[in-house]
Amino acid sequence: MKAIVVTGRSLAQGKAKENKFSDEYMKASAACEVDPDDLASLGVQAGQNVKLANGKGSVVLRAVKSSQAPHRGMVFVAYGPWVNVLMDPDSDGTGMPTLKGVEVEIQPAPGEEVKDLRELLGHSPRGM
Amino acid sequence: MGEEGVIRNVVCPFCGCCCDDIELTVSENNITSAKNACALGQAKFGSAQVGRVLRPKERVDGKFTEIDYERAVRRSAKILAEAKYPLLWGWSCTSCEAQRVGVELAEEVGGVLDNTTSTCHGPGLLAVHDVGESTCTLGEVRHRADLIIYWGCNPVHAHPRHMRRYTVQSEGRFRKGRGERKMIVVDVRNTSAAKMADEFIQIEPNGDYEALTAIRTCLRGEELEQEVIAGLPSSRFEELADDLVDCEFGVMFFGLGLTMSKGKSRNVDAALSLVRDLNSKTKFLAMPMRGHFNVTGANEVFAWQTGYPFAIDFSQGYPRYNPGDTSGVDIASRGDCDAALVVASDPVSNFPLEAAKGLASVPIITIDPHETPTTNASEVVLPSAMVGIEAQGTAYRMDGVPLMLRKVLEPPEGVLQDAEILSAILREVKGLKGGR
Repeated sequence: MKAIVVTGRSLAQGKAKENKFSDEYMKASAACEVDPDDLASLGVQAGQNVKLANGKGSVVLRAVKSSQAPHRGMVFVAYGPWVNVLMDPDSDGTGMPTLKGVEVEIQPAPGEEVKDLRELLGHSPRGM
Repeated sequence: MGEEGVIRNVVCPFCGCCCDDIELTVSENNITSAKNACALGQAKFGSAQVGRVLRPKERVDGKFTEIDYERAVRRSAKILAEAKYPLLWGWSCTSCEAQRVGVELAEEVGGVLDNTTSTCHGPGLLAVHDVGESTCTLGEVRHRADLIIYWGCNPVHAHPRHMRRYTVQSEGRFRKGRGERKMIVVDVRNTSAAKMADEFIQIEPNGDYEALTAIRTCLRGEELEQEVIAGLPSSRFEELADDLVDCEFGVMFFGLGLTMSKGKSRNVDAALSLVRDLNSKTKFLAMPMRGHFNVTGANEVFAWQTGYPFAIDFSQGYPRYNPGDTSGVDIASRGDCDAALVVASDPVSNFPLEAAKGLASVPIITIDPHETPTTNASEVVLPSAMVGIEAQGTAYRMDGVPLMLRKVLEPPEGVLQDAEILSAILREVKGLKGGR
């Protein structure tokens, strides 16, 4: 299913952001809030994993039933390194990459795990 | 010495609200309660005890080794002095005093000085350059505003006390509370803030420019030719234009919904132009919802020292400003910088991955109180005291009002403040550059 990703601050992400390697930060930032009708269309239940992919990369996130619905065709992911896998650094000459309104393909990801932060960023030459 | 007991009127060092009514209870160098703080403030005051970096360290043969500050400063200065085009990034979660040293250091090493504005309200500042901005202090909003618009922002999650202290729920001199103020939210989702609004206008993603332009068209008395605009019937914007004109003192608070989506600076350009147009019919003002507690201070300090608020390139020996070229994400993703100094920020987490990889491929020096993906990707890490908790200093609230941050705890033993560390690196760089 095609979807638009909107990123942003969430209370849970903001509370956990001073401790990036905590379970709370991962729970808040590696989650994808999906409209309940879109969850049904995908055949995914809240708590199961979904994969988001576009030309920049792909990432597995935990699906959460959105409390801010209706927003069919749009998913929300809190700011953070998980969703940044999908983001294009091109700033259109402004300095700001496009972090809201980004097109992705979303699909169920049974059997695929959400990577923790060290695993997600572990490919850096310095092991970030 | 840190203080003990109940400490009143502490400024919260989390978001741009800089709430200055926090009452901390401190016992044995621990904060045991933070009265009046929101959930974000509570977490920030509580974070002094978790995930800290306690000793400077450097990477040797791929692994970190603990060192003393003297060695860490020398290594940092050498990396920066030898770099041809270093990026000095962050600055929004530290004090103005540290930012001031950062400007001198950037000039000395001929680097690029950029703060996190470029990945939050930078496009808004570009729009201010083009259009100008009718604005005010939050005190004026509290006392006078009868119409509040939140456009592309969710203060319930990002600025939880904004409505209570400054806008719809605050009690002002001339507006006594929620019953005397109207609240309109424009957003792509039915957010927690939208649920509290008198009117919620749900536009489609990337539809902000269209929506703002439609309202401006209605204000001029012209007819909208499209039947559907930003996913809504055009009549909705005619009604909204009437609502905006009907107020006595309106304020539009705009968030990253404008700066991070399609159109970016042009969205804010349209918002500020709308506010300018409204002033021919009533009193109307605008203000960005600044995220980090001292990102406004970074803009102020950089602008008064260099003439520019962010993305300042000193490589030619004088300050140049060209966001999109001289901004952090662009430089990192192009692979232009050959070293980086990161102060109180975590770009490896916050940049798009491609840009984060570019940054992590060069030697990074990080000054930060906490362990982050950026400290882990660094060549040198210098732990610092938490500004506003373990170090005092100046911060600018989102409306440009400067406030004094307090020191209420002692930092971990031996840990220095950002401004001290930066001053030491600057001295060492000057020595390496020929004793200037």
